[in-house]
Amino acid sequence: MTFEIVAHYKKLLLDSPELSMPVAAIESLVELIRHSKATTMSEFMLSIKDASQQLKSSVRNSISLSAGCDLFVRFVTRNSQDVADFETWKGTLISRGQRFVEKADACRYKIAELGLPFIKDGSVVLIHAHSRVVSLLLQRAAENHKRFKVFVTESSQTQGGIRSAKVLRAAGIPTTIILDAAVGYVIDKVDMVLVGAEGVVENGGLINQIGSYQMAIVAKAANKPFYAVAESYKFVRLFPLNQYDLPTYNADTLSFQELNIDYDSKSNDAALADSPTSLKKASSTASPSTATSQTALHMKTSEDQASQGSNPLVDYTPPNYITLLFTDLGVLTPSGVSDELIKLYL
Amino acid sequence: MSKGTNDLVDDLVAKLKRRQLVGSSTVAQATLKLLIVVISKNNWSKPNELLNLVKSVGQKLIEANPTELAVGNIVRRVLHVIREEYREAEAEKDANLNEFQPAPLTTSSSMYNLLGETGSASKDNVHYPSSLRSNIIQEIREIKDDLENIYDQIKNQASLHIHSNEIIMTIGRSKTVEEFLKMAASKRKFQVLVAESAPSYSGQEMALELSKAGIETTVIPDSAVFAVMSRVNKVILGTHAVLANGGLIAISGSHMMASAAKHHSIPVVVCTGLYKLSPLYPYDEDSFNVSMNPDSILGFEEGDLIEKVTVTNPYYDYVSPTLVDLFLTNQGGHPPSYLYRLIIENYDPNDQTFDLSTMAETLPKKQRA
Amino acid sequence: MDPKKKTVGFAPDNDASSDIPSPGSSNNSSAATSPVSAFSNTPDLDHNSNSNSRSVGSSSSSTAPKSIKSSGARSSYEPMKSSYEEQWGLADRVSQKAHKMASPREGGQFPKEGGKKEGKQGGKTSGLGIQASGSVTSGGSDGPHSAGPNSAGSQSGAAAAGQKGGAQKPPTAPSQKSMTKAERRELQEKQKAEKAARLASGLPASGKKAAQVLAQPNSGFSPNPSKSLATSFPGAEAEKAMAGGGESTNQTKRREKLTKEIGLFAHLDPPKFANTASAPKDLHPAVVNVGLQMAQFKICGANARCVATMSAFRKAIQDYQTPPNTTLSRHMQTYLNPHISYLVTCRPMAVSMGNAIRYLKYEIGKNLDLPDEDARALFLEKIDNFIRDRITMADQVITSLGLQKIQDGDVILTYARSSVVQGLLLAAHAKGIKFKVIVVDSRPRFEGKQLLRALATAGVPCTYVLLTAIGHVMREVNKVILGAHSLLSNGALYSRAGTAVVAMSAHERKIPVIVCCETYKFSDRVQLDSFVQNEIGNPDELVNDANNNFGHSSTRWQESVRGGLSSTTNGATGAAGVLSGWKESRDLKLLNLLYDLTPSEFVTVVITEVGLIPCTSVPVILREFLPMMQQ
Repeated sequence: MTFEIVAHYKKLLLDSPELSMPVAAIESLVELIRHSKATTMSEFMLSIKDASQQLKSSVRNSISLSAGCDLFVRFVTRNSQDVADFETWKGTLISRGQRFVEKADACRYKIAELGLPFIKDGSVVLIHAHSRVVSLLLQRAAENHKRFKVFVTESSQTQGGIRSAKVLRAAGIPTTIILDAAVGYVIDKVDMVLVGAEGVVENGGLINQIGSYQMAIVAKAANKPFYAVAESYKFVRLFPLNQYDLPTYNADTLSFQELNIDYDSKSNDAALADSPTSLKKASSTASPSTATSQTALHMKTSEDQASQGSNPLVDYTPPNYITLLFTDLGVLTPSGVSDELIKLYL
Repeated sequence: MSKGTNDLVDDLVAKLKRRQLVGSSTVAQATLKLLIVVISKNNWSKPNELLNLVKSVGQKLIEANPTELAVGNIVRRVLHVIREEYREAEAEKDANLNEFQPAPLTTSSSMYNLLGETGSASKDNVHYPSSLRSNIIQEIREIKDDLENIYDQIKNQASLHIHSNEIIMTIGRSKTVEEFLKMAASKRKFQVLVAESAPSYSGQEMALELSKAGIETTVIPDSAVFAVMSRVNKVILGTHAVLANGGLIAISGSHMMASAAKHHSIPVVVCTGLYKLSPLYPYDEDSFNVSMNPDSILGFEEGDLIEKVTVTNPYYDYVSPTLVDLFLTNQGGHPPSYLYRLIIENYDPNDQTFDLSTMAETLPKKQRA
Repeated sequence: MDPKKKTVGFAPDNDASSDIPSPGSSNNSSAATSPVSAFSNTPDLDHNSNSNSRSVGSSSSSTAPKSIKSSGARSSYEPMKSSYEEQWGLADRVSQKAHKMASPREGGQFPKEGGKKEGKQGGKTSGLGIQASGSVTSGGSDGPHSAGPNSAGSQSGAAAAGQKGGAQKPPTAPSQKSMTKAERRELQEKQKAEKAARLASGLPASGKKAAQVLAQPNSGFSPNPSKSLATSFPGAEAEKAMAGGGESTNQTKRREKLTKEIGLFAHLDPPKFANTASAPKDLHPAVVNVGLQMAQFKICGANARCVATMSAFRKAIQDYQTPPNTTLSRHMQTYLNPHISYLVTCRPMAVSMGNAIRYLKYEIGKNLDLPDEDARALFLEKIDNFIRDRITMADQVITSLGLQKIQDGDVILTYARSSVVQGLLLAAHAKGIKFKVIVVDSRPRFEGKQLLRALATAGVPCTYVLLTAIGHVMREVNKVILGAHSLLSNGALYSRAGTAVVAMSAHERKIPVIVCCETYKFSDRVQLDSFVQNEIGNPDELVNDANNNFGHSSTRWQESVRGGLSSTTNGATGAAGVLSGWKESRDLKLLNLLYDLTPSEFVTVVITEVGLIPCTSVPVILREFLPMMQQ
């Protein structure tokens, strides 16, 4: 196969940052069909499944990506039964796929329309990190002359909060960035919590950027509504039991660091123990403070780097924490999501 | 629209506006009666014509009194029936033509539609069978029959939910709950505590009715709700409307009773006909509330005081779905999480928002005395 | 019917009065009978709370409401199922136990012994050594002190006290033989004096007969209501008590239905209807007056009732004349006891009153050897100090502490009316803090209107809502300030019915709940629900009629809501209240519960004169702080 699906996918995302992963995935798969030289049905199906597998394994956080892939594969298999002419069928698939990509954007607008009435005048909304559809919803609300304020968590891993704040402030919405750790502090001032989603799982639960789960717990404790906003192509056939049952979880995730890192820190300690002498030496020549801060900084970054790899990027929010989901299929309760998924895959 | 039906519409609109017609049941029946007349007396041939006709009448009625959600529910229900009939008629045609059509899942709001064929171009040119008109009217009459038998269907479940020697608490007066309890009383012996729901004190009437039926009934003031809750086995509430998320618009005091029940882990059962189920969401807890005359709280006797203070007298309470354990409808018992399904079955998603703007904007605000 | 049988129900403590009759002792508060009733009732309690009706002979099933009316006058206290003879004549276990309990009472009739014994027995049975577990009259007042204002408490409390007291001594009662000469002489003198008093009031000379006469519901000072009221609460009870045999279950069931008593609250005293006639003749008029005002809810609220009681006692002590052969301080307690039990017959005692009276008794018991005039001056001073330190000053401190918690822009919600809260809000307004108040109110007393009036007059922006709207208004609130009737040792807040709902709604929205409560209202009692101890108000207050609608005719409401059309469907509910015929209706009952219990989890902070404490620290204050205060 000459067509490099992963490369195409990455290029798509790079070209248009507004594109979401599942849409890009479907677009890539459509592209694959275009390039496909398969002559038999089974060969064709195999190549599609293979490609979606490639895509999934190509990124670290594959949840929303796999939602898109699965949806498309499901669609192809479902339609594969009554195929009269292979080539025309391929043609329909391509046109449908393209139509989907066109509609994907409309999805978000529909969600924004549905979610609009939930944003009350004078309310305070807490959002998490950056989500395109959440931003769009809030922008639409601002366009509709709703006056409200937004707290956004910084989301230190991706700095998504800063991105959100930029977008929202540009839309004229008063926005304050808060620390991820300050959710409990602000929750009493907040009227509703709004988060996006990487994926919405079988039971109506949510997979989203790390931190959503704790926000949901805090919201529940404070009796504040917790709304999730997700396009229906993010519904994914997963049923996680808990955080450690996600496909992104591996033995490495948050594992306790082993001895080699211990040695490192010891050597750092040794360096620290040495520092007074080195300080004395250095004090005469250079400013001592810079020297120490540099070592401290160095230590910090090295440790961060060591632990960074094992820190999870997403977490799972069980459905009982979610008040409602705004989707392009309508405003759903978590059990409504389950209903839709059952209908699609049964 | 013909002159005669127009007058009928205006008449009902006026009654709704003046609050001469209140109560979900009465309003629902009146609306349905009117719609039957409108559909049968007017000329229409194409689906959109009929839908627009019903929608325009519905819009008027809803605007007349936006807090009577049952009006909107009935209108949507009728619209849904009309759409279904057309869909059926079209499906028959399509089957005859034997077109290539992957027709797997028909629910219009499926994820599948994301990729599947959508929005079959409006088939204005299709000729519909003449039986369509009578079919539609027939279907609507069925809704009407349903509406009339709703109490029977609900109350017949009574003995499944009430055991002997139970202590049941309720608030205010609800015809549905009253029938339900009376039915249960014919089979079981139990006690009922009725909170008054000041300032309407409709709980007193309820208690009187129940005691006449031989049920041991105790009237309690609203203040005693929490105090006696710990000995109650079940809270049974009536409601004015059920919202799409399972929240209730019920008589004021329902919220405190439901939360007190929650605190004591006592199940809250809501008896309601499905016509009260609305596809709308509680965007704002006040959206569907009505502020009543403060006179019943602070009478004119207290003239000097009235000038100095604000009196708030909301007629309804919003009860969030987390406080409700079970809905008993004419279709059986459902948990709040299942309501979305009932909504999908009874209403078309295209109709859910046709009158949204008017619903949200015309909210009665607090009255100032 | 045997006249004795009649008396059993309503004036059951003629057991004691048969030996030593005195107006005070036959002052038939049902609380005084509690040890006996508690015991005779125990077996029944085992199977069913409603079984009391089963155990009594039943009337014919044809009993109509009319016959209740006629019999209602002879109301009885339900648990007293056995007759006088059964309890005292038969030597079965129950009656022996009853004797054991009765024994200290009889002893307690003697002023001297009372003084001494109380020191000994009371010291072991109750927290403060001065309590008379002895005399009948103090038996009545005893319960409320140790266990609160309700009969349930006094039943169990007094029963426990009686049992313990009895167990410490041989089971036989200390009869007159075992008394000292002085005691006997005193008793005789007392009897003579009382006889004279009875003759003067036109009662039979014999103590026993007098007791019986007094016990007749409509004669003397029974707490029984006048005939018109007889059907309301105790009426149906009386019917049961009267009925002889025929225990068929059918009939029992039928009678159960006729009971206007609410099964779950059967253990509580029925509402009381005191009148001037019910006051024993030798009570101080100031106390009688206070009692009546309390019975009519003209004096209402824990602080007001406590201050009124203490002031009345102050007057009584001022006017007190020491009888011959005793000293003021030794006789004072005996003198006060009938006053106290009279107050209990008017309305179950408030915790605040109980604590204040206990304090007074403690001071009296501590100063037995003072000369009369010194003692009088001391007691008067102690009363003044109590009111000043524990109430007036305490309120000032609470106000100043509370002011720190009220900021500009606050929306404060409060429920009903508490004098402390009112003081705090007015002080905050006077201080220039800009805040808004939402007064939540409820049936049947609408006490919040008084607060509303005070605040509105002072110019505080106010909103007035009824309790049903609590979910609606709570959204804009950022602080809830509540008053308290009492704070119990488990941290629960015992306050006006409805407080729990308010606190719960606030807790639901994480709005801080602030309770203002003086430490003298702290109680060593614990309670898990609002059932075990509570007070039942007059159920007729719940009827909306011309006399009782507080300006809220339900018909007016209906018209405004339903409009002309549908009012026809509801036309049956006429202009008079919907419930006006409730007494005739077999299955309709009204419950007018006066208090409820708010779990401690709903209360954020308690502001007391000793500072801001979590409400779970009540026992700490009781343990550490109060003994210091008493010195």
